[in-house]
Amino acid sequence: MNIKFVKISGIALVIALIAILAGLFALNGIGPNGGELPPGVENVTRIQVTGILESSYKPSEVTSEIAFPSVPEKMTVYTVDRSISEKELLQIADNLGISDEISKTHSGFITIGQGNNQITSYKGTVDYSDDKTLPGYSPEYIDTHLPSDEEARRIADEFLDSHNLRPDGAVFYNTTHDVGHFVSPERGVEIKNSESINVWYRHWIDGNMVLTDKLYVKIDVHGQVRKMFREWPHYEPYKEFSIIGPEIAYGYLKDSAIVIPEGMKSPEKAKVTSISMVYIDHTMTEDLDYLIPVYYFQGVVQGDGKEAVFYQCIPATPEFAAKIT
Amino acid sequence: MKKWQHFKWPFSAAFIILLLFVNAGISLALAESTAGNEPNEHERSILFTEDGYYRAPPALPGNSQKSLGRGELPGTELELSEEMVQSATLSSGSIQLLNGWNYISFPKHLNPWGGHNQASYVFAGVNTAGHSIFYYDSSTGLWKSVTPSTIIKPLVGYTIYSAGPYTLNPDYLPPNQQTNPYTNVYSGWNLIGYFDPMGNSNDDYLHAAMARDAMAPLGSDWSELIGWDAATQQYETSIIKDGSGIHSDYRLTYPNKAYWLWMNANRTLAYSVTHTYYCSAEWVGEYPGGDGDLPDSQDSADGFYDTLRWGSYWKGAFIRGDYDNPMARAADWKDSSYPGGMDDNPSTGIDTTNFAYFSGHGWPGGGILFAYGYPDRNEQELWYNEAIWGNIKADWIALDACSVLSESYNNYAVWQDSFKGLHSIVGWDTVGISSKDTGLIFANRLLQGKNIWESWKYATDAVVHFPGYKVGILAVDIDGNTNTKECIEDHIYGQGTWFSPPGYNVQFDKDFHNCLP
Repeated sequence: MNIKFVKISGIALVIALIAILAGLFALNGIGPNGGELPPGVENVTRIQVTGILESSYKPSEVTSEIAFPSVPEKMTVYTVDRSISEKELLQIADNLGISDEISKTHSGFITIGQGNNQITSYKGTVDYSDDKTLPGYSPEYIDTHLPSDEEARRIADEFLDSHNLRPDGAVFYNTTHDVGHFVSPERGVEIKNSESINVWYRHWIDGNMVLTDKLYVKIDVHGQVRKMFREWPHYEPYKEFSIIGPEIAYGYLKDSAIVIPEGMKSPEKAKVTSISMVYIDHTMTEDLDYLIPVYYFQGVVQGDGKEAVFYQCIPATPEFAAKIT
Repeated sequence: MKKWQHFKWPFSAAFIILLLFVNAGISLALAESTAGNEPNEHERSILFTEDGYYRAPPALPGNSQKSLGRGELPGTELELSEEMVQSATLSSGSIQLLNGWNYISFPKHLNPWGGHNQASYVFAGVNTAGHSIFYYDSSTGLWKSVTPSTIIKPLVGYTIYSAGPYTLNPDYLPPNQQTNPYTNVYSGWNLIGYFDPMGNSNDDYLHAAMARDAMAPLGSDWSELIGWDAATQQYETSIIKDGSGIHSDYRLTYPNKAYWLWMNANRTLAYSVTHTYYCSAEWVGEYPGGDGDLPDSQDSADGFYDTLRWGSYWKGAFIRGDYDNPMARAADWKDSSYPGGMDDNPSTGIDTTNFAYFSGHGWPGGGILFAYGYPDRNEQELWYNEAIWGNIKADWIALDACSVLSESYNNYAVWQDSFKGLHSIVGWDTVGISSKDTGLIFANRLLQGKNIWESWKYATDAVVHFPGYKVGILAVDIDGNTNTKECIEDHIYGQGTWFSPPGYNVQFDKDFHNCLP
């Protein structure tokens, strides 16, 4: 047996020992909830909690000067049911005055109604669209005929309530404007010729917002409702789980990449401006089977010579973090 | 997973700036020579006879040509003059006659039942102030009068005098009974009727078409088209095959108009009333080097392609990704006028398909990224200034890629010069979400009869679950009228209305949508 082989064997033995000890520590670290894991997460071997929104944007520095929020020791995790029964869809259609047979595609789309008056459902979403073509308008016409945000909210509220479409837990969130322009490169002109207001509602459970649910009603000029889109799954309580404290979550944030929707190649200094507890039932690309609590960090980040908003979600329940990371 | 982006100035942009300095003198000289829209050498050879006189279309019987001196051009040949009829509004086929002479055509076969295809029915009620209605027999070079029993046909141009405005309401055969029209055209002047090269048996609307597309059945044997502006009672600026500037054959020709056509040989002008439209998709999942992988891009592209290709009138041309030979590559999107560009390659070029979909990385500078060619960045990247789309076939493009239509980076503007017949581009304004479902949802929505912009918004609404994401569209506005919208309301072929855009002097509508605030 040569010396080189002995050395390599020794090093390998030490590495293996460290790995076994680390594994034992990690398993032990699951703590009191170790026996309460939901199906599918039995093979948890680590408890590292990282951001659920993977990206390549890891800032060189993360700071926070805000106070950590008070959080409960435990929070309820919910199971998610994205299915919408035919009966439920027919009821929604009926509420909108659409009476037609259900039509289904092999890829899972369900439609009721024809042409401009129909609803479509896919993977738990429901869409109602009035596609009648609108003309372009002058900026002056838009400014005088588009409802104010407050009026748009009232119209959207009335639409949802009068058609019995407001789901449980829906709370007005804010309004955004979709704006269109006519552009003539040769004439060097850019003129606003369309604008609509999206009135957004968010889902709140146990006093916490469900970040990944959405409902909006689109209001056009003249106050017409042009569209409703919602993704509002059903949730059933599963179990209570202990959650990590915000200071621990903040520690994980510092090791995480962050999400910058506007895009930034080289984020440098990130400053947290808000920390809240929210629920999510999606990662960026995957549907989750459970509605889980996460710390929702928001802030501003500098880099590439500009400043942009960022956010990141840090799972508050280590067990589910293990499943989704 | 978010899609990676990178920032850089295109090499070509810097190179162009350098050239502008180096060639300042040449540029100024060029600007001087093109002032006043003087035709270039190629155009002059078409506009003028061999002895140097303007080659005007035949005058109507009893009229004489306005005399022009050697080398002189009518004013309409120096300044764009055209009647943009029905560019902004869809029509079921009525024809508006204006006071004076009108050059018209019937873009579909008329219903023969009850003689509804005869002149006595078609032109009943028109006060011609005693003038005959004519068509031009190009085989003899003589005008012929329309008689009450003359069968009115597509592809034939008619001249009719109307004392005051009058609307004809032709009785067309329904779409599913239309048959392929054809007519013989001869060397020299022909007065032809318009027939929509893309409209067909599934569509009851009329569409304009770029002259190059309308004349495609004639190959290289045509050289000039001239329309008539009934409002001003004068000829429009001519359209010249491969012409530039105001003579560009990227200009539109319109339904219900008649055109003087100069032929260099005898040919048959024929169209099909049935069409098959083609979709294509390319995706990149595994990026070499430091560019992040996108494991869901294949599913997104598959979803689009495998759904749309089964739609009525649609077929799949090709889908290419990481495992194909050759792989998805920038060359398939790059115009063939650029080194390495192969977008007109019939088996791999996206400009040979009507709807092309890309799923992969994009960036705010205005481009999309491939793996093919790594580590040669020039091979990997497609920049906006290498794309000329629609000059072959591409009508719509969806870029499921980050920031390709970034509003804050003015990205919608950088693609404008790529529109040479293209109707619209949809894409992400912000960083995008790479989802397995995007293409599937998008294509399903298109086949539900929703327009392209609404379908894109619906698909991205469905896959975005986190705040801050926006999508956009850049679409051609045909008539420059801010009160009307055209291509932003397009449906795919077979599923609703659509508009044919020009590739010359293109104007746009842009729109953006917040997927989740």
